[in-house]
Amino acid sequence: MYNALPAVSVSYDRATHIVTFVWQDETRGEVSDTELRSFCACADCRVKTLVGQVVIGRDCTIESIEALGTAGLTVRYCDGHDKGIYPWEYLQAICAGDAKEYLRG
Amino acid sequence: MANTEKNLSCIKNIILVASGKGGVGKSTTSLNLALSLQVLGKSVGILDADIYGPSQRKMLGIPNEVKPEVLENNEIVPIEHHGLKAMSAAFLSDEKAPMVWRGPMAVRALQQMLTLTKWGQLDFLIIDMPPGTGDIHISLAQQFNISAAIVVTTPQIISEIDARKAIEMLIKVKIPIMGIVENMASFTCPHCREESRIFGDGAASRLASDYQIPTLASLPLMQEIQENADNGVPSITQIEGSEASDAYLSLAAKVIARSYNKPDDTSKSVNISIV
Repeated sequence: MYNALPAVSVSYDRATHIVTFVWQDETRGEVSDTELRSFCACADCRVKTLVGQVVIGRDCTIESIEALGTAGLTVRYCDGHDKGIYPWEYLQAICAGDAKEYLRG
Repeated sequence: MANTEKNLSCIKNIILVASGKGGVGKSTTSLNLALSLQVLGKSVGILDADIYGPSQRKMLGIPNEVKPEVLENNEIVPIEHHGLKAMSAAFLSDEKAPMVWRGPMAVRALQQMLTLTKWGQLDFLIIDMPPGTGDIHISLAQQFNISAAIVVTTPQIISEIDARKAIEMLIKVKIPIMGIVENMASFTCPHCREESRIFGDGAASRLASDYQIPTLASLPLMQEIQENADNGVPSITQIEGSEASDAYLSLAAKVIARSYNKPDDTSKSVNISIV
């Protein structure tokens, strides 16, 4: 359903807190910074989730976004969290509201 | 950059294949995953990190007399077989002689095998880990840039319990877990074609649900896989179009899709902006 192709462009608007992806088939996907942060699948966030700690803070403003080759993105949030790696396929699933299904395989 | 660092810097993805329990098919899965990645066009190496019970020499069908070349600077040229670059403690010892090494020695030996081997450019290095959650695992996690781990389990509850320990250990040492492989999940009777789940059911789905980790593959129990492993002819090279080879190729495709390559030139083609 989703593919591992990198997006053509990724733009983040600090005012609206929305990240917009333009995919290679020219379709667009959007996700808020808070939602993107909540779907961080790094080990730290998983541990916190497992022990019932809150993963996301009040402010999930994004400070920087970097491409990891053909694999996906890393995102640095204003709270300093930058451990998460978001494969392109996963980002497509997040934009489509299917992140939990994707993680279940 | 030291030669040892250089040897690892050309590897895009280092993937650990781990399990809590021995005997769940970790080495068979590692080898067939490595070969399937190669079938899908990737350059692949395999490191047999099971210092105490290395099995990749036998599974790859590399004769005992074949030893890796050791260069003047102590770097080791991996043995190439079935197109894979392979390195194992078994290449440096006698098949019948056990490795009598205390923990720190075993860790050191593995570090050397990893860093002194001239891997060259690889898309994937698959590390076939020893069972358990000991020194070797923690040391690898702390000292090397491991891309992700795959946890192998069988459907048995006793295997699931140990797989949980492996997952908890990987979370603690901050290695991303790519997913779970459920091995020996089902058996199809060659006579009546009836499918039985002889080791039980549901371990992978319980783990996937509890840890939010995907199940990457559910591999069948097949007599050919065992025979091929013992005879040194990996299944993926022998039973093309079978249920097993399809499952291994599907696993490899998922690993490629979920792997975290190091940045390369293609990253420049993504236009990223923050306003």
